Amino acid sequence: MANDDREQPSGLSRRAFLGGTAGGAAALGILARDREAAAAPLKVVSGATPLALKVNGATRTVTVEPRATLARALRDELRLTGTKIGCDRGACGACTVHLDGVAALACTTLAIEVGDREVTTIEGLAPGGKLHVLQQAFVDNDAMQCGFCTPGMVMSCAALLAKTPKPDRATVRAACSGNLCRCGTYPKVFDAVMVASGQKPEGWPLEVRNVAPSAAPPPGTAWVGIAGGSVAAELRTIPENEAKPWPMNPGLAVVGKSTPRLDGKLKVTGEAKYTSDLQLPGMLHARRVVSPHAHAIVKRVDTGKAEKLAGVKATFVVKRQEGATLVDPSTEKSGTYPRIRYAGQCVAAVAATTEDLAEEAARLVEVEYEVLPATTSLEGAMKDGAPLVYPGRVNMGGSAGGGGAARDLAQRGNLRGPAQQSEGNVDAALAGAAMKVSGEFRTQVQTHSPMETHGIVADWRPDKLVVYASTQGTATVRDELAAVFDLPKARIEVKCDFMGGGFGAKFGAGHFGVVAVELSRRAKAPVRLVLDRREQHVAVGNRPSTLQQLTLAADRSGGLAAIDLVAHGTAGIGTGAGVGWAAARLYPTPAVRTRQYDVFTNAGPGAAFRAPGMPQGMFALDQLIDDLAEKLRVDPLDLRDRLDVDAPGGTATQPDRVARRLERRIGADKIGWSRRHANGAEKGPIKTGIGIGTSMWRRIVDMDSACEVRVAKDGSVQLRSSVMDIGTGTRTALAMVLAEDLGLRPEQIDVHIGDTRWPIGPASGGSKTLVGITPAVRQAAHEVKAKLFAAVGKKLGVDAKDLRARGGRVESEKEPAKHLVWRDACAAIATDELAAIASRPNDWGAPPSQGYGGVQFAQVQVDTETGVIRVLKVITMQECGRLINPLAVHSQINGGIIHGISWALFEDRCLDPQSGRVLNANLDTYKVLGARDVPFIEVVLLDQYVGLTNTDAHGIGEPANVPTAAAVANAVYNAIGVRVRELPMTPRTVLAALRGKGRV
Amino acid sequence: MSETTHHRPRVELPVLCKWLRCKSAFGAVEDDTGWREGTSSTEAYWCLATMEPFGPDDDHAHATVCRDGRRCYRP
Repeated sequence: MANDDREQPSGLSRRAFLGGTAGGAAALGILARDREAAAAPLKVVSGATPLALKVNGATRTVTVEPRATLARALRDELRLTGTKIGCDRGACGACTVHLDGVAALACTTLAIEVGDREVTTIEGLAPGGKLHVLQQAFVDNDAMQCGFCTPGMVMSCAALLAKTPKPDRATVRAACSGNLCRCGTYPKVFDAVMVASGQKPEGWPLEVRNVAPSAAPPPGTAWVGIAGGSVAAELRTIPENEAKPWPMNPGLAVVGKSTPRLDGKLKVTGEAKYTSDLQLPGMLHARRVVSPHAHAIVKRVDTGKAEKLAGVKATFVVKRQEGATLVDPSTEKSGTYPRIRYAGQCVAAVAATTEDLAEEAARLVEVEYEVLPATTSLEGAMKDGAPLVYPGRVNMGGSAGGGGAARDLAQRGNLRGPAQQSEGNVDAALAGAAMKVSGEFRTQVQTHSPMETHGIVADWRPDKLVVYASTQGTATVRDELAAVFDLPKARIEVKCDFMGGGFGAKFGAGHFGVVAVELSRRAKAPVRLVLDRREQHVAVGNRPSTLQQLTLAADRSGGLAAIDLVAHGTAGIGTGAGVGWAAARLYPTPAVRTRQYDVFTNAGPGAAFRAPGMPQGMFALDQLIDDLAEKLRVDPLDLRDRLDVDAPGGTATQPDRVARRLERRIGADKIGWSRRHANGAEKGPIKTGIGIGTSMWRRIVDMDSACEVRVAKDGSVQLRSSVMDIGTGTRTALAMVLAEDLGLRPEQIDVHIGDTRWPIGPASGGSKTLVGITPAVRQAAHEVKAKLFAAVGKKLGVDAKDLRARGGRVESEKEPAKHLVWRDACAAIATDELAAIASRPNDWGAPPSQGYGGVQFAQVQVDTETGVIRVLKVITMQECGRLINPLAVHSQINGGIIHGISWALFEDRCLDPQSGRVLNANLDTYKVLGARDVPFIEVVLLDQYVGLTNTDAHGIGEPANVPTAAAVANAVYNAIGVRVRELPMTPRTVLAALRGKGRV
Repeated sequence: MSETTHHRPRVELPVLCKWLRCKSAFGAVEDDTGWREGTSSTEAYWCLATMEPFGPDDDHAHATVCRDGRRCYRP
C-alpha cells in the first residue's frame, strides 16, 4: 500500500491543495471541490514565472508557480520572514499582511491574485527605522512573549487603527480575533491598541506588593519573608568569594522595576529570526513520510521513485536497529522496520532542493503496510482482549547484574503500573472516617500547539555539526545529537535565537531532528525540516488524558484522615500520564495512597506540558475540597487554611503555605467572596458563580547554569550563555540582573544567549530558568567587578574593596567624590577586555520545603439553557521569589491563566476511534482560546524572599497554569449547583451534568 | 518531575541505559531522582536509539526497564 497520509482531510494546506490541481489561477474558484483532486499526487508545476508585486512601496519581482501563496512568495522569494506561517490555512493569523491597507491572510492568498494591490508586510509598516506608534505601544506594554504571532497581531491591529482611529474595546477584540497567541498575550495587546489610539488602557491590573526594607541584610544573613507577612534576616552560610545578598527590591535600581523587553523591537518589526525563517546557502528542504495507520507492520519501503526525481538529494528510511532482539518474536514479527504504533509515526524522509519537490518526493516513497487492529481510547485499551500496543513485559534476558534490579511495575495488557505511594493505613482510615467525599474526574488530551511548530535546520559540515533548533534547551539538543551520532559535544553547535513557544514539548532533538541531521549528513548540505501543523499535533507531544477516582476522608471538624487516588491516563504509546503529586502533597494527611497507571494506546506520545500532571490533579483535588467544605458546612477558604499546614493539625511555616494563606485572603477581598451566594442559588437561566483554585509547584534547581560576562575597555558589556529565551523575557531579565550589579541600565548590556558555544545554561522548562541562571550571572558580575575595581582603585587611589558600581559610575563608597563614569572606569583596564565565567553557586541552605504557592479565583457565567460557560474574571495572587521584571511576569501569568481556561473550556484532541487518526489536527478545528474569550484578569504579585541564593529568583510558568481549571470548575458549581467533572466543560458536558441532576 | 524526592534519605540510584532520556534527564538537578528510579507518574521517556518512546526491541522505554539485563541495554 502506498503512503496516503497526506490525503488526510485536515492536513491539507491551500498550497498543497492547489498543487494537486491543474494550476493555480483556475483553482481560485474550486476550493470547495471534493477531496479527490486533493488526494491526487502533487504535481510539481513547471513554468514558474516572474510576477511583479508591489511590496512595501517598491515593485519586486518574484518567480513563483501559480499555486504559490503570497506567504511563500514573501518569505521564500523576498526573504520577508516577518510574515509567519503558523497553520498554513488561515486559522491563526500569523501571516497577516495588508493588501491596499486591508488586513489579509497571506497563507490563503495566492501571489498571482494580488494583482496591482499594494502589499504591506510587517517590515514595511514603518519604513525608515522608526517604529509605528502601534509597534512602540506593543513594546512599551509588553504585548508579546515568544513573539511569533506578534507581526501578524500588529498588522491586524494596524489595519484596525487605519480604519477606526479610536476603536472601542469590543472592536479591538474583534479586530484581533483572527490572530491566535498561544502564549496568551491578548490583554497586553488590547492595552497596546488602546494606548496607540490615544485612549485609556483597558485595564488589566498588576499590583506588586513589595516588602519594605531597602537595606542589605546584615553580614552572614539573608532576607526571608513575603510582602504582607513577616520578614526577618536569617543566618546563612555565604561563601566569602560569592556575590552577597541584595537588599530587597525597593533598595535596588533596576531589578524589580517593570522593564520592556530588550528584544521587543526585533519582535514587533519582524526582524527576529526563528528557526523556520532560516535560509542557509544551498539549504535543502525535508519532508517526512509518516504512517497513516495507527498500528501496522511495515513490509516494504521503496524510495526508488523519489530518488529519481530531479532535485532530490537524500532519502532516509527508518529501520530497526541491527541486532535488536524483539521482546516476543511470536507477536512482534521481526523485520527490517520498527512496528508502527501510531498514525503519524515517521517511516522515511526525503531532502530536496525546494519544499514542493520534497513534498512530491515524499509522496513517491512507496510503503507497504500490514495493517493491524489498533486501540485508540483509554477505556478500550483497558478491556480484555484489546489490541496490545506493546507485547508484554520487557525481556530482561541475559545478565541482570549491576545497576540495581528493576522495580517490578506490572504490565497487564495495555495497563502499566501503578506508580504508587502509600503512607499510613488508608483502608482503615477510610473505614473509620466520619465523612467521605469522592468523585470521578476526566480530563482530555491537550496539544501544545505552539505558534511555531517544531523545526530544525541541520548543517553537517566536515569539521562540525551546526544545528539551528526551535528548542527549549540548546544543550539538550546537543546532548542527544552527540549521543546519537557519536560526536564530541565540542563539535556540535546548537543555536536558538528566537523560539515560537514550546510549553514543554521542545526538549531534545526529537525524531525529526535526528532525521534532519542524518539527511544533512547524507546530502552534504544544510537541511531544514519544519513540521507542519498536523505533524505538530500528532507526533511531538501532548498533555495526556486522565481518569481519576479520588476519595477524601475527614473527621467531623474537617481534619483530613485519608486521601485515596486511583488515576489512569494515556500518553498514547508513551508513559507519564499520571496526575502528579497534588493529592499526595498539598495537604498533609496521615494516610495517603496514590496509584497511577499508564494506559498505552495507539496514539502519538505525550510530552511534558506546563506543570506535567498538576493541573489534572488539582482539577480533581480542589473540587473535592470544596465538596468536603460543603458537607462540613464550613467556608471552603477556611477549610483550606486549616489544611494548608506543615503537618496535620499544625501551623503553616513553609514559604508556599504562608504565601497561599495570604493569597487566599487577598483574593477573597478582591473577588467579593463574602458576598458569594449559595451553590446554585441564583434564579433565572443565566447564573454566575465564583470559585477558587490552588497552585503548587516545586522549586527546581539546575546546576548546569553558567554564563560569561565580558567588560571591554570601551565600556561595552556582554553576557553569554547557552540558555535560551522561550518567550518569557529571559534575555531582558539577565540584562537587568547584570545591570543592577554593574550600575548600568539594562539596554547597556548585550545579551548573547541560545548558543552552545557559550557556557552551558539551563533548559527553559519546569519554572527553573531564572532559579538556575541568575545566581550565575551575579557571580560572574561579582568576579569581573573585582578585576575592574582593582584597576579603578589604582587609578583613583582608593582601596578596591571600597568601590561600588552605581548610577553609571564606579565610586568610592566612603568618598563618593572619588569616582569615574563607567566608560572611564573601563578605560582603566590594562587589557582590552575583562572576562569572568561563573557557574551557579550552590544554594545557601535547605529549608524543609521550597515549593511555589499561588491562588486563583474565577468568576463565571453559565447559561443553563445552552450550556455555554463564560469566564468573566480571574484574579490571581502569586509569589515567585524576588521579582526580577514584574512586567514580564505579569505577561507570563496572564498566559498561564489563558492556557488554563483554554484547556478547561475548549481544547480537545479528537481521534477517530477506528483509524486512530487525529481529526482536528489544525487550529481551525482544534479550538484554542482567542481574543474574544479572554476574561478580565487581575494579577497580584507578592514579592518574596527565601534566602537561598544571591538573587532569590524563582519561576512562574508552571504555577500560573496549575489552578485555573479547578477555579473555573468550582465557580461553575457555585453557579449551577451541579458538578462538572469532565474537561473540557463544553455545552454538552454542562447540559449532561444538569440533566443528570434533573435541572433541565 | 518527581513526586517522591522530597526529604528522603539519599539512596543509591539505579544505572540506566545510556540511550534513555526524558525531560528531567537533562541538566544537573541534584534532588530530582524520581526519573531515575522510575517512580514519577508524569515522566515521558524516550529512547535515543529509536527517538521514540520504545526501544530497539520494540518495547516501551522507561526507567524501570531500561536497565542492565534488557537485551538492548547499553551501559
